[in-house]
Amino acid sequence: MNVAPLLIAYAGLLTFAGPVLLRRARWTDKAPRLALATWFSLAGSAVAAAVLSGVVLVVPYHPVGGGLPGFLRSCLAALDHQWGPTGARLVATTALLVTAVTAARLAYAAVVVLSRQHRTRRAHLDGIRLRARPDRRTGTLLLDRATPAAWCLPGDGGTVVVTTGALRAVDAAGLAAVLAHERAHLAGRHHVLTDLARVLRRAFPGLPLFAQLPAQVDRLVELRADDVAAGRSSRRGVATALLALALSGAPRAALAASGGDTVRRVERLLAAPERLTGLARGGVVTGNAASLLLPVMLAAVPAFTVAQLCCR
Amino acid sequence: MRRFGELEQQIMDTAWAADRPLTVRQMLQCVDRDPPPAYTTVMTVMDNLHRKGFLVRCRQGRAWSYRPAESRADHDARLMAEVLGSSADPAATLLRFVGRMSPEELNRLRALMPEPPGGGR
Repeated sequence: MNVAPLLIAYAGLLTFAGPVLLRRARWTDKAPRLALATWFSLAGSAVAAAVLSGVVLVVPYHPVGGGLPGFLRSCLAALDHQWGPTGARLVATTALLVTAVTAARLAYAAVVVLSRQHRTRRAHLDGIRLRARPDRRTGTLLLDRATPAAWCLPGDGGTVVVTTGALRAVDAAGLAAVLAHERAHLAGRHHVLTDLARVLRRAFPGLPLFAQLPAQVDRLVELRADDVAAGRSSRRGVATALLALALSGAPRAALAASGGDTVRRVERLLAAPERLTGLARGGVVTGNAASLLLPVMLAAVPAFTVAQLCCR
Repeated sequence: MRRFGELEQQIMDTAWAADRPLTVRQMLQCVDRDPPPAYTTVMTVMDNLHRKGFLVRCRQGRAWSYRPAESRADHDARLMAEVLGSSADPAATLLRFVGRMSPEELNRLRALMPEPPGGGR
């Protein structure tokens, strides 16, 4: 029996049931970094399963000899044997399409999204540099605007930008918390994660797992940066800084439609810290590893065949 | 490193303050620095600013003359709009300390405030 249907079913399961289960899980807010790893494990497993499903359709199970031509002949012979001459052609075409389309979509989305992100960030930073002055004391770019805001951009070791409005809104401890949060984004390479989530969404639009990935990753990197900042100052300090920045200054252009997570972040920081037990942590790590390994193991038999071919 | 950061700012400020397009030579006379920058330096910086889209240029006789692509107020407003997220996917390019909030969310945040902030309102 061929494992291709199994791989496709597995990819489908991850894509449709994965996000439902993971969003319902209670542990994700306690361990945001582990939750990020889990979201990307799900996505990686689903993509791997889809790519491999095409491969296993055409590669025969029994070892073959005779170099590449012999290998291809035996692939076709096996297909002929199983599906008949017309069916073989159909199966081979479908298989190659599934594998090639999945891989090509991913590569194309990566090029489009990453180059657009790079351009947009470059242009934004160029514009900021014309107006901001470097602040030696804090190592940030200080922008003379009344609206309180702090944000960071990757590249050249990373840049943190703070408005003078933000400086007025928080005290020294609050500023330290804000800066620790932004530097946690840069040190943790959170932009890579948010970019990758958008690459996957663009590559596979409409599928629940990939459609939900950006919002979930955005939320989890904020929680992770809050935790790192809390370690540098205090949970209460980060919460206070969040409140101060959120509530001070001119009313923001508030769009009721956009759901933010600021309330949840403050509540989480003001509550007692919750940790995952070592056992739970180990369970999630094992689950992630298993979800990634499963498609590879399902496809291992044909992969073994290819390896034998290469060694001869 | 950024060699011309300060000079870039001065040149843009001069261009924003000027009431007409300026040639490189006119810019050189306006920029107040000690020691004064070389002509070629100012030309390079202005060309960079043009390439990045901050200055637009037109032929004036045999020289190019440059003016800002947008007013200083528009430039600042655009930067802040990029940060505060008027785009459909604001978190896509930069990571902000506080995201956008609905009025309802703001009210819930106010309720969380442990004590009124010192000074202010």
